[in-house]
Amino acid sequence: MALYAFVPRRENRLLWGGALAAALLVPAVLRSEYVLNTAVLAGIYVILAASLNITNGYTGLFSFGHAAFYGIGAYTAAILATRLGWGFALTLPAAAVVAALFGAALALITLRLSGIFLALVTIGFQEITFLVTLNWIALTRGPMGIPGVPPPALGGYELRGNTGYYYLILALDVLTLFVVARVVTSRVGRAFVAIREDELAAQASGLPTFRLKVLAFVIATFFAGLAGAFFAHHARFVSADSFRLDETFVILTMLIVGGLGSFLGPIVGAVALVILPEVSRVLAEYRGVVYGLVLIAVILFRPEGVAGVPGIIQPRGLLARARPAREPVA
Amino acid sequence: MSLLEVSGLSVTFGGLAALKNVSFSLEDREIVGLIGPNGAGKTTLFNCLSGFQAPDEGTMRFRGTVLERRSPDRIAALGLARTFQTSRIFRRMTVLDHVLIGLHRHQRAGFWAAVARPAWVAAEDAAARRRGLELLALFEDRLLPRVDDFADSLSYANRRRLEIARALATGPTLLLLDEPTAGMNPHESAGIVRLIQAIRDLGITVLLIEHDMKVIMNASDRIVVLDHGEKIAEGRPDEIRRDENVIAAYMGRRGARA
Amino acid sequence: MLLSQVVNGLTQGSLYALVAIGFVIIFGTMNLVTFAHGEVYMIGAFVGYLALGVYHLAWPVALASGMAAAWVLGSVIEKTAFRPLRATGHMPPLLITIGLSIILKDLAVVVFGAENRPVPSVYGTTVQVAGVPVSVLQLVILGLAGALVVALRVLLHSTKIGRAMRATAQDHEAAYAMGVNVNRVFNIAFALASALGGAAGVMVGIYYNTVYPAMGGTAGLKGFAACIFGGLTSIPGAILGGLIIGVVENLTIQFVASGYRDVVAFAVMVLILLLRPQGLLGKRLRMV
Repeated sequence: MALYAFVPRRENRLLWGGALAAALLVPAVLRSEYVLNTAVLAGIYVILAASLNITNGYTGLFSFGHAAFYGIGAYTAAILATRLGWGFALTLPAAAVVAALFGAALALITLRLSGIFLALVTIGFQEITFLVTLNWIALTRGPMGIPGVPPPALGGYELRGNTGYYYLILALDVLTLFVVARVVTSRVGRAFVAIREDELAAQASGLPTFRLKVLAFVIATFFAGLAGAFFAHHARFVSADSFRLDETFVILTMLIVGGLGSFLGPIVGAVALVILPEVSRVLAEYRGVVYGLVLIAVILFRPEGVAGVPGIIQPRGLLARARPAREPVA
Repeated sequence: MSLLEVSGLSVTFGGLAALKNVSFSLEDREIVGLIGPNGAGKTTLFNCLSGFQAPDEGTMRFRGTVLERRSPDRIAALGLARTFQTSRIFRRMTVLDHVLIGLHRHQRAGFWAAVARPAWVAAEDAAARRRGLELLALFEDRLLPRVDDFADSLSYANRRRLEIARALATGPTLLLLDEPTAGMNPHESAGIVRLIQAIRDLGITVLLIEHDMKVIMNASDRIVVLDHGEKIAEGRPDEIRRDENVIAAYMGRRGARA
Repeated sequence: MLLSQVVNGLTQGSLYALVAIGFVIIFGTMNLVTFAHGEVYMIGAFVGYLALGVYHLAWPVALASGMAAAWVLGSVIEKTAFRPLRATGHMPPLLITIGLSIILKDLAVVVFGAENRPVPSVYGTTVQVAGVPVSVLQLVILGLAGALVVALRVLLHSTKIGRAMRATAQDHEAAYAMGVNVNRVFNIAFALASALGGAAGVMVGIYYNTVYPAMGGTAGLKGFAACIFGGLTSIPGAILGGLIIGVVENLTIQFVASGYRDVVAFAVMVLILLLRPQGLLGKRLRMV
């Protein structure tokens, strides 16, 4: 079976069950704190890439604002934890919901646009969010960031070493990927793909495409916020600089390298690109160059990435859907 | 009340009149052909009826409900389905998926049902699958054997059939077919004529754009003729065949194969 | 005070306009978007810094070398990223420019470090123009920007290559059929746009006395915002957009708060996209 077609189902439960079991054993086998920290990072990016895949991969929307929702989730968790003393069990859902609310608002306002115009509007939102976060000192402490976010305390037991964080992010990954798998194999998921393939034909077939696109956005931003909350309680310090357009590009690169529009794509991409710079000191120093080269190589030689659905990146593109009148005035 | 009433429909693109004061009506269980030389406004008319083009003047009533300013998906929900002149299929979706998309509005499972999967979802999916296969069976052995193939692996003729299947799945009472036999040989075109008649027997009215005169003459109960955006003739096939205005409109133009 | 802020705004705005014109040329001719334009601007700025600050050459030399470096870089980008993929649509080249922007920025950080590099001052004096204090540097920048725009217009309207570019922008298939070497036109258009960006970069470095690797990101985005004014295809629209953004930004610093300066460009861009995506000067958008 083609890699891009794999979705966890009852029929292949031995396969993904085995993978899950292996994932559970990782801290027992690899005892280094450094390796576990890398694994935790990979876990965060799996959620980010998989959630971006819902809008950009399955539904074909070009959202370039994902890092902003990641940041909104992180800041929400950090503020609730440090100002109101909320524990992780409360900040996690709160962060996800707040991010999703922002996602819904943005979607309702902007999803009449498509292609490059949607991309630009999401970039605009991304930058505005960053600047507001940087300047609204009363709420976010501005450039100083929010330090002192407590680690998650589950049942009175505070998470200390990376092993605890690893299992926590693994649980969140399982939750995210479970929802993703359920959505993409459902009537809703099928509708998303139809919209990506040909939105006009989808409308002519009775699909309420606007509503569906908003739904895709809300799902994606919910999980971005979820990842943000975890980030806040793991890094224990939140600053606006971590959630800029650069970060969206990193997530997008992981998604494209792993493959758009498939279940495995974001997982492969996130894990591969988090591990890659750790393989050697040189690569770590040139992380940006490495990511850029890998992205370019993938686009040139295998646009569907490792495990993505072929044909998403070519031939229709950002601008094919919304062409303004082409009369350059010079 | 007629199934469809179009009166005074006009559309202008930057000074060029694509449709000029077009009026006609369709009744239940009819097959009506829509012909005219290239650029006569036929596809523009389809775009207006299906909500992709806002008319500048005129009204369209479908079973009494006004169609103007409705979005295409609302119009499809009312029971008006269409195919496109350039085949618009979902390349990376299977043949079965196409009819399931057509059935989308007849199902209920949303996000929460997708995640929780209560028992009724499986039942709904199974019913949809059965209905989908029933629809594909209308196309003899063209589409059924390819139920799980991606649409971009289909031949051109099969893609056009698939579009029709998807449109039928929406459960329309009026089906707009835009050049369904384009690129087909006479044998396949005859198959499409039989298909259109079978569709009519299911209780669906068909409005059919075609350049293949044999198909139009064999399939249509009535024919409406457009030229330069205006209706120049309307009547039974044998009347249209002899109509001087129609002959004059087609004289010297390529595209009419009788 | 108000008027001097306006002058500041026009100066800054003319530099945004140069970046924006670059986007318009690329989009208008090739119907493609590049996310690496900001980084080309940044590379131009660094070359200018090297010429002026390290090798102590005269500023016109710095400007020329910055533009030349950007021209070459743009030509290389077009040949390697856009040309092989042009037939595949708009997404692949755009993603490649994202990759390039990541690479260029990272290389700049590795080679120069992430911090600000100081650029020596040029023309520190101030004069009075109609009662408004204006620095000579501002006059020079405004003059240079204006000269470049005029030169561009002359190029596009009175030279053979300029006519070829306009023909290609209208309909590249028809231009090809008429014997225009479309590949060469695309390459020159991209290189020209990049050179304008490089010029803006050098002048920004001189104006603010600093260059740094991250300067391309925001500048590129603001250039986008400015060219949205004209709907991505109008050069006068891009110029107007750049100037307006520059002026409003400076007024914001004066009357609101300096930290929110950058919000102006993005807020303007978002508003225009939502209310009138074809820009203020462009034609109606056709969606179907």
